[in-house]
Amino acid sequence: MKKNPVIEPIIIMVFGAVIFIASFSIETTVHSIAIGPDFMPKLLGVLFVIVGASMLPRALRAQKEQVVVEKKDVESTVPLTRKELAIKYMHFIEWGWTLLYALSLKKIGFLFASIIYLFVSMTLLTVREKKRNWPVIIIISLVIPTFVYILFRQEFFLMLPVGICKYIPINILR
Amino acid sequence: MELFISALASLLNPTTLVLVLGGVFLGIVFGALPGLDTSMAVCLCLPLTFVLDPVDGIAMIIGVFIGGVSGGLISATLLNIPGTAAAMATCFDGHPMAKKGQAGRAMGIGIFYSFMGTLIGMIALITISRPMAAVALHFTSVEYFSIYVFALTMMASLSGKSLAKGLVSGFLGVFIACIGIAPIDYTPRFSFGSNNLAAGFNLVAVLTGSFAVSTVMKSIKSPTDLKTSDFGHATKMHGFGFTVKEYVRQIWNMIRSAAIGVGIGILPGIGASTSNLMAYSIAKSSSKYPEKFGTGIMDGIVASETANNATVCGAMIPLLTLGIPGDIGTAFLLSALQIHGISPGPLLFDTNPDLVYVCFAAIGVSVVFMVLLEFFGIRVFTKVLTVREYILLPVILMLCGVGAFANSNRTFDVIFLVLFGLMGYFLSGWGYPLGPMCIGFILGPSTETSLRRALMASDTGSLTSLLSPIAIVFYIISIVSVVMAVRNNRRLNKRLEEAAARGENVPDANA
Repeated sequence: MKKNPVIEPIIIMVFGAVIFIASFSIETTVHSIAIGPDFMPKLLGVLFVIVGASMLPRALRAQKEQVVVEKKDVESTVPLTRKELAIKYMHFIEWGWTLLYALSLKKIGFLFASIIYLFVSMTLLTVREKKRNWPVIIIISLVIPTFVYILFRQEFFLMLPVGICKYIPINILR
Repeated sequence: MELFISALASLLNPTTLVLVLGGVFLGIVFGALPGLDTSMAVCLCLPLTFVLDPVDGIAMIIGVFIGGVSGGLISATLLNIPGTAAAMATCFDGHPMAKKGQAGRAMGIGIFYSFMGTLIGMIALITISRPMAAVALHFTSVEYFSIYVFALTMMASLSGKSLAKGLVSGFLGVFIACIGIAPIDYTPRFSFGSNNLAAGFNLVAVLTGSFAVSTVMKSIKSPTDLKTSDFGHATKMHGFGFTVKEYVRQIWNMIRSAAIGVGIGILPGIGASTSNLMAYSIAKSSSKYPEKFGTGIMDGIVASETANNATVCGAMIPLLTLGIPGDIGTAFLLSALQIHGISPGPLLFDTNPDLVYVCFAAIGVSVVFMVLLEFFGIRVFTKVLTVREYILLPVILMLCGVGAFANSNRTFDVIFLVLFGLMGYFLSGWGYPLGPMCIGFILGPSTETSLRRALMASDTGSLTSLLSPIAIVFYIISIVSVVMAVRNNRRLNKRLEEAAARGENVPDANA
């Protein structure tokens, strides 16, 4: 199904209106200044509405020209296998996994979270392959996060999240 | 000259040289890999530069830049895929020459004229910057506001196919920058009681997320793994592949292309993606044998590679003298400087002249490394470029996370890095270019600050106080710039469509 072209400018205009209205809640503490901190958000709100409105005539024309062609959806009649589905939506799966990695960094710590993240990601991304190169996947998952963790913590004094590493009795990891 | 020599001396220590060499190497790899670009390489280097002193950090970032623009010629010549949009025109003659069995000659010409382009650009940068900064010293916040307005016209240049979509993306960037503490009076905006939101979004999280993470996700969706066999006999190089006579014949083409490159670099937002095409088309139209262009002749490679490398130095002129980036690449360089607490602008020449000259000297050192690496390391690059994407992409995502965390020690930024990546992915998928968003995010706060300062300094506080003779000139230039940008974008899109119709691999105009 094709996306309705009018929705886009409407979303932009609504977004602009929300910003404009929300800007009234910004408290101005210094009144002697000619324009306050609410000026820029209000201006942006107005600009979003103007640009959205300018996109509207073309979108309306496009909507009129949009010929709805009823065509048989061949793909939908053939159910995809689990593997084919995984390949099709791989980038979304990877996205969800990356977000989970980001959320778990604080609790699990950079080192272990990254080892698991790289291992699972590389396993996911090789779903197209006939045969996975497990030694490469395992070595890279272990070596790169460990190298980065030790390099940043010990050499650059950049405190990447420790997480569960604090329970490991190895000084270089804590 | 003294300052330049002393800056050069400060770079000639083993640690700095290794960092610059590493930066150039990384830049070449990212420039050559289709789908990845120089900006992403800069993002990955940023966490490393936090812990380095400013001289080392800036030298490394400049190394990445110089390597990145030149790296595009490797895949353009050998695979007919421009690694970056800046190497688009290199495909036209570089690849046909390689197909004739002269890949080594094509690479040699490309490498040499990348060097010459950067060298001429560097001379222009050193010559123009100081007097331009001296003039800019007399500017008040009124003039600065007009300059920022002029710089924001870059949004139009980076808009790609639709000006309206480019503007929406740019305004979104300014809005994201508005979240947090307001300038001047430090009032929290849209923080909803959250301390993390009140502190605002991290520069690295926004830029890396919207640019790098979304690019990686696009690569996951459409993988482009390269094989060693794709590169043919590229690794056999004998000298630079041309005679002294041929060099003499190309001098005018080289100077003209470098001048086009520097000129376009100075103008906000146009960048190397246009300069290489413009130099190529001028070289073709003024040639005695235009029919030979596109068949693998030296003139085409000379024009494209000289112009795109000269643009890098040209774009640094407004960055160093006025504090406004000339293109998206220098916008990332501006972020790197800001992270180190350095505010580029005319005052930098008085307060930190040594740092300005470090930038100049770093260009010189980087370009030498670029030639040496590309000339002797072509075998290594062809190997590195064949590293499988299933290894490369997750590692890049992990390093992006390190970069976002390193800037402020908050996992909040890593989470938003992923969310900004998601936003960037969908926006670019719907035809919204991401360049304007980054420009809006970087320049928005400075524009707001200068506007509020200008109004505070005036007695009336009315908008007429934003007018001064110099400011009016900049407002007029801004209008002209927008009109020209729209025209240029239309032409560029037309050319890319024509190239696509001819079956050539073309980079995304919105990228």
